Amino acid sequence: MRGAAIKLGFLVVLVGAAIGIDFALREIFNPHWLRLIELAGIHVVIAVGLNLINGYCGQFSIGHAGFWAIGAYASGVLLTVAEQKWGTPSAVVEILLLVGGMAIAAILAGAAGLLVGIPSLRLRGDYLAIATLGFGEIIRNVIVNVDAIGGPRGYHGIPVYTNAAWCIIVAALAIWFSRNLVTSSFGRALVAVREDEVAAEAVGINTTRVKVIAFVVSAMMTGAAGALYAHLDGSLDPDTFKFTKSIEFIIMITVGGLGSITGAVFGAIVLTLLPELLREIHPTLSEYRMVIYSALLIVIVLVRPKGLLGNRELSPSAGIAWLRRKFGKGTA
Amino acid sequence: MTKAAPHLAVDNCTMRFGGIVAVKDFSMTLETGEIFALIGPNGAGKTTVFNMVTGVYTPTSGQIRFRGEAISGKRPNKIAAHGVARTFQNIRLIPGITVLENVVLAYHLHTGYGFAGALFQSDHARACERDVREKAMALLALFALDKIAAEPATSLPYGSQRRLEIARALALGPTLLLLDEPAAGMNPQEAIDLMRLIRFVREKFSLTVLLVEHNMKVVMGIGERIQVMDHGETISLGSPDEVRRDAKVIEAYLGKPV
Amino acid sequence: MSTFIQQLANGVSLGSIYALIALGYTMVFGVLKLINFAHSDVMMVGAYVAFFVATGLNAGPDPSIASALITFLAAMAGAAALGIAIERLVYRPLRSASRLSLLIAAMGMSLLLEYGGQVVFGPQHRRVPDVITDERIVLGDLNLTVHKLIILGVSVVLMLGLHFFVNKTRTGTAMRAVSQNVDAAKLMGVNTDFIIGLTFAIGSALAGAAGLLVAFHQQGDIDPLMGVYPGLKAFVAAVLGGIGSIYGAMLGGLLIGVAETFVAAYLPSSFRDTITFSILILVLLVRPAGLLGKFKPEKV
Repeated sequence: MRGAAIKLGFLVVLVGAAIGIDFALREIFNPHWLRLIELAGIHVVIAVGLNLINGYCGQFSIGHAGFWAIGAYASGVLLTVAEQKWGTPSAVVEILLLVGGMAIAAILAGAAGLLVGIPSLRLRGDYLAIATLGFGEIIRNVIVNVDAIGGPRGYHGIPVYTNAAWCIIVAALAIWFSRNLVTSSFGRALVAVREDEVAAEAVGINTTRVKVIAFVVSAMMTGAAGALYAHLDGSLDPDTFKFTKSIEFIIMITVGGLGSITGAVFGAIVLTLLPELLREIHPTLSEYRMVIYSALLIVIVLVRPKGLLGNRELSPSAGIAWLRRKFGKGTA
Repeated sequence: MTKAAPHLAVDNCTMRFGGIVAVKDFSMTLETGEIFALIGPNGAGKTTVFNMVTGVYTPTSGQIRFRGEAISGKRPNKIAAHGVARTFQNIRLIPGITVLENVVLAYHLHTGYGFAGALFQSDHARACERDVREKAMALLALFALDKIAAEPATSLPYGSQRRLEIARALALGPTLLLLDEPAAGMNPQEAIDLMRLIRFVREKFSLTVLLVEHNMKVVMGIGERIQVMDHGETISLGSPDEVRRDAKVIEAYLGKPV
Repeated sequence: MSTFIQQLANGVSLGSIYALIALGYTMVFGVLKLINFAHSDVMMVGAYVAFFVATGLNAGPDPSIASALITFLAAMAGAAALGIAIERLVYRPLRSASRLSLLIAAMGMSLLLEYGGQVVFGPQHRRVPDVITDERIVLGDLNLTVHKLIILGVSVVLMLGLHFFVNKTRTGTAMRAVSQNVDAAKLMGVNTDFIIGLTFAIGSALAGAAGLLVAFHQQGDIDPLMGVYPGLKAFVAAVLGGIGSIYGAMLGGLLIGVAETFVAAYLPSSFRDTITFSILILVLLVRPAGLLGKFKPEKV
């Protein structure tokens, strides 16, 4: 009971802090940069989710753009219809609507994850990767073929509810959930499945179940991020959700270090903001954004195959431990 | 009063891979509490029997019963949950996690909290985690591995990795322990220590032990009954002395006398 | 009936391009167990080499057999050189790394070529001049074009060449040995580094030829992202046929080409990709080794 009270307290502090930061960001940054920071938050949610299945569980998915699309279209279409029906909502209703939109987005994306995961997770390595790629493309193809949601023209006029506070709160929750999972018995099972499925089964781990759960949780986080994305710009373009987007997400978690939450967060933020930073340095540099990304990716794989952080985590306690190792030897 | 079911009964099992018959009409019975050794020349089919019992393979025909319940065809994790634990010929510890975590991992089935507890890190889940860690440390202490509990598992010396794998198997809370060539790569002193350890865990955890081993000193030293396989079939069964004197066994190992 | 045969002819023509590209995927997978994502972009570079050479030869207004031949050979040589360079600089240093690292490097390489291509060649579409004049050929009910026949002819010649090389030469035998078991081949004295490099060279050369054929297929139109979807389809073809199997790639390519053409003819064409990917997933789930491949379970 005490634990629950503390957690509730933390949530209140988090919401307060997020709103405070939101105000500060609005003061400091122009709308363009503000949007990028919000997008970085959305990418953090996706990267943390993708890292669960790709990094911890070792099951390679190149289909997350599909789950992202499902979440985005689900919440986008639903809340647009809601607003058309009941008019512009009050602030409180708007909060409830967005939470509801994210919940539905997560549930639908999770259901799609289940549908994709149960058959595909029998496949290993490259075969799984390519099956998820196929599923992701099918999802996008279906969207393009449904005229009611705009088909190839995209879906527009979605109410804009997403702000920096929302992105911070959802990203923080995603990180917290993810950390809780990987430090639990479920997290140990994930690593065991990644490292040695035969040994994992021998100690009683139902590897199929572990993989499917990880996949669904990952898809749900990505779906919720999709809802945030739909209400960020107010319009959706099916071309956003091509498989190259899935590969971009993979680059994020690979650059940071597969199997590290802090790595995923770091990768998502840096790769979202980097092109704009490059543009600030020199305008033509941002045209080379993807060239720089891909070259960066190759160089990282070549010189630091485990990513910048490897599978280590950056946290206050890890920092103290590092300082002790570095400077504590003489005093001990 | 009927006689209690044997601890493990392999009944007329055959295992075919394409055209190759690895194990042919094989039967084997383990009584509760004994140390039973399965031996035979290379390629005799011992590891295949192991893999059938633990569910890695499903026998092409025949049945396997564990404490009276049919287990053949079940998945390895289900069979492990029944109380059948194993070690591997080529040690399979989980790399990248610590000695302690390798053992904690095997408490997976008995951690006592669910997915929601893990997701929200409930008070109950935290208490369960602490509890499991204490149990795992106690188990490691029995194997003199508690001092190095925080080391990465795969950085340990070979002998310690073998012991850790046995500790991990015991964390499942099994009644049947299958050891696949536990003495492989050990020097004579280590092999003697291993024999002492196997006897010790058998008493301490009231286990039945199935041992596949090439080291005859170990087999004859701790095997209470020995079954000998060659070409996928049983050629002898009995006490160490009986098996040692069996002409068919000598022939299988040394070839026909010229 | 006549439309059926017409569609079949179109499908075979498209399918033979897929087959040529699929061969590169399958050969590299054979020796490195790697999905070489960059392969389709090597094809794109081949198409651009053809564009520059054909433009330089002034082939557009003045097509000739000689200029066609030079363009083809240049596209193949350019693609082969690129394939060798990628293998040497990126994949070889990673050969002892995890397969995941290799796969990610391949994705990175693919993106680098696509976006690098946009920087170097410009993002706009270009038109490869006709190295051979396209003409309509009518055979009874059948409407063919010179370009379609060339696509088919070049593919058949290249595939027959590959068949003879792999089966009738010592180097071809060594290549088959490496794809069976790299370590054993090395112990038998095969220079595996050379064979792997050669595999990339041959696969990429085929892709280079395919690049020009794709241009033929789309009336000369090329752009830096032209490889993405044909590459994906060709990969599906390789998986369908059984990845690692050369004949599987040929068969898979033809099947995918024909299937797509028929779907586009009888259903809204936007369903085409859905069908291709559905075939992929179905094959993976029902017969992961593909039509002609062998599946090896893990040994415990």
